[in-house]
Amino acid sequence: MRRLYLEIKNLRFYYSIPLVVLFILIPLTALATLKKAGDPFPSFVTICQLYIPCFASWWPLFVLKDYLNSPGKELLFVYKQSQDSLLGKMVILWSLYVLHILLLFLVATFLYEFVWFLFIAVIIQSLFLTALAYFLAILLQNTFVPLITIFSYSLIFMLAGGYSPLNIFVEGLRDVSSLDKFVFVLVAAFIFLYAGLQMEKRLYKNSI
Amino acid sequence: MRKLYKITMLVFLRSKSLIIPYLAVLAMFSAYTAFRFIQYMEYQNIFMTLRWFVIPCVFLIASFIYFSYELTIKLHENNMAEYFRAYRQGLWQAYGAIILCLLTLVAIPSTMFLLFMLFFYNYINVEYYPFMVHLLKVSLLYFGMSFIAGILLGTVMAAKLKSNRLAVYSLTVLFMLLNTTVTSNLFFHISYMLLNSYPLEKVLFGIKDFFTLVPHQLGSNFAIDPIYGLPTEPIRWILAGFWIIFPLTLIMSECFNHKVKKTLTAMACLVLVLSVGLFVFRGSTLVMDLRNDSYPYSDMLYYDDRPEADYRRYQTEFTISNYNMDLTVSNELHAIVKITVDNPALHRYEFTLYRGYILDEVRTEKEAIPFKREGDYISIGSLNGSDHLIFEYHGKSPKYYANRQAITLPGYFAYYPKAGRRNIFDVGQSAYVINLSPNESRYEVKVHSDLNVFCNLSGSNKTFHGKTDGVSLFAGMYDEIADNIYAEPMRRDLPQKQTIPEAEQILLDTFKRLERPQPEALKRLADKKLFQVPGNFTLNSGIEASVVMSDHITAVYCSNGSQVAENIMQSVIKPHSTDNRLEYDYLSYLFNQKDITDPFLKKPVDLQQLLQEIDEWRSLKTKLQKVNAEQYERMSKQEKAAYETDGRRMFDLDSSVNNKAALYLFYQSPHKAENFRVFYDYYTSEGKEDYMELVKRIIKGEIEHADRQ
Amino acid sequence: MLTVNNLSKRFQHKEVLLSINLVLENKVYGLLGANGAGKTTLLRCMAGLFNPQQGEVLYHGEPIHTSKSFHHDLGYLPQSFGMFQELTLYEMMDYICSLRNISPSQCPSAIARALESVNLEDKTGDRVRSLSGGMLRRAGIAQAILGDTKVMLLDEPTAGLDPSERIRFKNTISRLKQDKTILISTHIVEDVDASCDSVIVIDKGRILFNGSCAELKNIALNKVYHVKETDLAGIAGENFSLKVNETEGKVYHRILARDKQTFPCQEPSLEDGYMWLVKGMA
Repeated sequence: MRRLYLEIKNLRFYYSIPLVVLFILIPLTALATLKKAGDPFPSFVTICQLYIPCFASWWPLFVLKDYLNSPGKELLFVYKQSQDSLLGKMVILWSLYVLHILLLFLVATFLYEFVWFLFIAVIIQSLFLTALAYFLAILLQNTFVPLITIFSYSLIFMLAGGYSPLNIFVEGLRDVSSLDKFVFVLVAAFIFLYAGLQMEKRLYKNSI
Repeated sequence: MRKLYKITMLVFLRSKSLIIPYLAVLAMFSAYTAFRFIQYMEYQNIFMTLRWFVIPCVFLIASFIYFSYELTIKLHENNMAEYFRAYRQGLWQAYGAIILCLLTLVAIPSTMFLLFMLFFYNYINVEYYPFMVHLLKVSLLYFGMSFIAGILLGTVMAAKLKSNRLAVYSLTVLFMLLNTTVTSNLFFHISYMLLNSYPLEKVLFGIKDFFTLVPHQLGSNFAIDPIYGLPTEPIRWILAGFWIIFPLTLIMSECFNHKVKKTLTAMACLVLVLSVGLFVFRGSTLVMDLRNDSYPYSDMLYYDDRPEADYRRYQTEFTISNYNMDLTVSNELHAIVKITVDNPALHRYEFTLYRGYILDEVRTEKEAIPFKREGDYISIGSLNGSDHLIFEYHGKSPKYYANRQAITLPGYFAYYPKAGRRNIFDVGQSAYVINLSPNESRYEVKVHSDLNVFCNLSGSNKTFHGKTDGVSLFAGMYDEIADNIYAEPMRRDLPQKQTIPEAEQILLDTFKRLERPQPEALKRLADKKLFQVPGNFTLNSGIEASVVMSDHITAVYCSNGSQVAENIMQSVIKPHSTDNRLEYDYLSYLFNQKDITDPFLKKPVDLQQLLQEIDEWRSLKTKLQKVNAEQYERMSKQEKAAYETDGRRMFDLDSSVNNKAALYLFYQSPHKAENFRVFYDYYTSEGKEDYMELVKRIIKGEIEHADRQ
Repeated sequence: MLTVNNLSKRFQHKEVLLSINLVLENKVYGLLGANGAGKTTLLRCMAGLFNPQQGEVLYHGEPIHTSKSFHHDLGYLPQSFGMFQELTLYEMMDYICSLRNISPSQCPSAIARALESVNLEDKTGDRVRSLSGGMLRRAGIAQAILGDTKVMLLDEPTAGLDPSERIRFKNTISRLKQDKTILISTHIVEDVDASCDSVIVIDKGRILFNGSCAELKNIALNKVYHVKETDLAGIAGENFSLKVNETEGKVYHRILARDKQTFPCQEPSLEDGYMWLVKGMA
């Protein structure tokens, strides 16, 4: 955990960008929608799905950057042990992000009802995009391409996606039935994590 | 240099992390374009397809930022920069080779897109040369210059930020977000909706616009008007040029020694200042998003809190007999308008000129006249014996644009001074007011513009003259498609020669059926010019579907006479209408627009049930309208649930009640002819009676009548 | 003790290492070879980064991948070094301590000692990105000698170091070498001569020599000649010019020749022995 702490510290100011999004941009935008006439919850759903999942990949990719792009990265792999896997770091970072999302939603419960279905949906979407980022980063030995891919995916499907089997974003999310799709999203996330782990074990060391 | 270029190309081609993503991007772009083309073959909507073609622009630019950064950073990660710097202009040659290599890579998708546009133009077979020019401009600006800007942005980030990938990644993501509607929504919500700060919103959107390198932002659902096409105003070219020259200057400043470096840095600052200056004074551009100054929302928000006293009780004591207008349309409208008033002895004159036009001067032939400008109104004192006034002004309207790309200035809009104080936008109707002169004035109009301008007055070579109650000017991808018929040639629903004569006949027959006199303005329609106006005219205004002026007609939808007749009738009744729902059905039934095979029409309406539903709907409406946001927050969970249930019921009844009422009154009722007349009188009167009261009264009367029989 | 048994490594179709056999005891070894000889690949295999197609690396008789103590005892300096650019030097060293499971209570003193030995004790608060190339190299050496290192694999440790730092490096190695196996990969012969007890010569993936510096020098005994340029034509048999210098207006060549010559013989250096092997004259 000390190593992960130092890796996060290495991000300096850039570490705070997801926090700015979670605790400043989203609340301000949500507060603004409360001033509009009508039910503000659908707007909150859109805002959360637009901003939260894509920034879930921010910390993982920026931490992976030093493993994939920095000079002397091989030193990190000389001492890497089984409990030190990149997958483990991805999961810890995702969990850390989920804790922050939880804080946001705890406040949101005072403003909206039915937030907990949205919360579940958003954390699954975050896991999916984290897993996708991890998988692509290990596959391509690159963190820039996964970053562009994750944000492109989120923007396309949130702004213009409509219905598509590849779309992990949904409207509504007021009840359990809206979560049906997320079983598949969760499965897909695990597949990406597993595939990434296999590649991390086998291919990476031979490709330094 | 040639050798360096060759080697750089080899480096790119041999780097798996570059060549594979590049080929993947090319393949995806090609597949996407093919997919959208297949969609076009199904839907045949040119501009919707064009919109979809350009959507991936932002992702392509981001990809080019990636390619250029990764290629250039190799120079620094292997200490080659130091090595090149040791040779005279070595580093500049190295960068030059990299840029040339990247330009070659950009040229491939750019050329692909250009060729595809040419193919698309040939395929759609419209034979309209300005559209081809437009496609070429779009290709050059957004799939040429924007890509070049992308590669230079990536290169300058490598040159300046070097291995600071965190900064590079963050800036790239920021660039992507600035070029989609994500940031539009964010800026709008936070600055305007939350903080109610118009200046903050203006600044934020200004910053966003400065960074916009794409023609149509992902997430924007606004339709493109064929008269305008995708935006290619001069400011777009200037911005693209800035995003090419500025990074290039910064790159060059890295390559040379102190003296030259200082000069280049100074040049970069100058380019920045110049571009910001030109951007600030960019004039009229088409803005279709959520901001206050946008086409859809600007006037709706501005006029929301305008006092009616501004214009309501004002009586005009003069008319304008002559107009001599010298209009220059460059980045915005610049006008010198000379008018002749019929009553030069008054002590006070009021004029209406849309607030977006900044009045520079008002003068007679002898001297300048002091004036007071309040919003849309100009107040002037005595004319000191003169009967001529000259107004000099410049500016723009967010909706009725006039710039180097297109002109849409309809005669009913106060883009030139009109006598008296008139309302520009009716908040209650949520529509622009049709402001026509009560009399026809004589006009001499000269337009200075690079575009081919069309006017309702006769004339040629952009000089027009004649008598009318309003001068309309249109230009852009616009043409005379038949005798006295002007339209956007790229539209699918073009008017035909027989459209207006048909409409005239239909209106004549309709007024006969209604047994009401036909308004004078609606007679002899076939003698008038027809201008089909852009579809977005009705985006924020329900009454501009069709406007009849003394010598011409403007209409949005005019593919057949029936549609035109219906829209013209709507303009007759709309000014007095307090509801939209029944009115639309009224017109549909009046002009036989309903599909008679629709089973809904055959189902007899239960009148008693309808009356009950009307009562229930009205009572729910009254009940729910009494609850404001604060009261809602104070409600318990059960009360809120009941409120939501009532809301849903009211929503369901809303359409059901109106549909059934219209179906019975105007289709099934044995007295439907009389009902048409009654409602015509209602819609054209100044009466305040609620329309549902009228509906109930008629239905009850018919029930009683049926019972008696 | 680090043992390499019959190690072969291939990248796609290219054989980079061929049947390498080495036994490294508690000494300082210099791994000499030209660029592309396979030095870095060998070091990476020995560090456990690469899995060889054939053979194994043993630490105290146990394969390094299963040895519990290998990674704790290993200090590795890669060819390029400089990750975590935004961390301070101290934080980066702290990270390596954590990677190597050095006890947290021992970290501060271990870091201080390591940085002192490379003359970077005043840079602990500076960010890694602000360090010059030479300082970064020294920081790399420092992290390799952190804690209780028993095996040190150093890839080009003196690249970018100024002469005084190279002397300091040599002194550091001399001080530390007690009970340690140190392998220094370099193509700078002087460094091997100054710091190493033994030398391993590798060329085209094969070990050409493994012995003491003196033994390597002796390979070229009576094979090195000092010849005037004008006399070059008179050299019999296969020969190779090692060095050219000018003295009092006359140009002289230092020649390596297989056959006995009539010219004055020179005392062979380590470089001469290395060139004798590498040029295939052995």
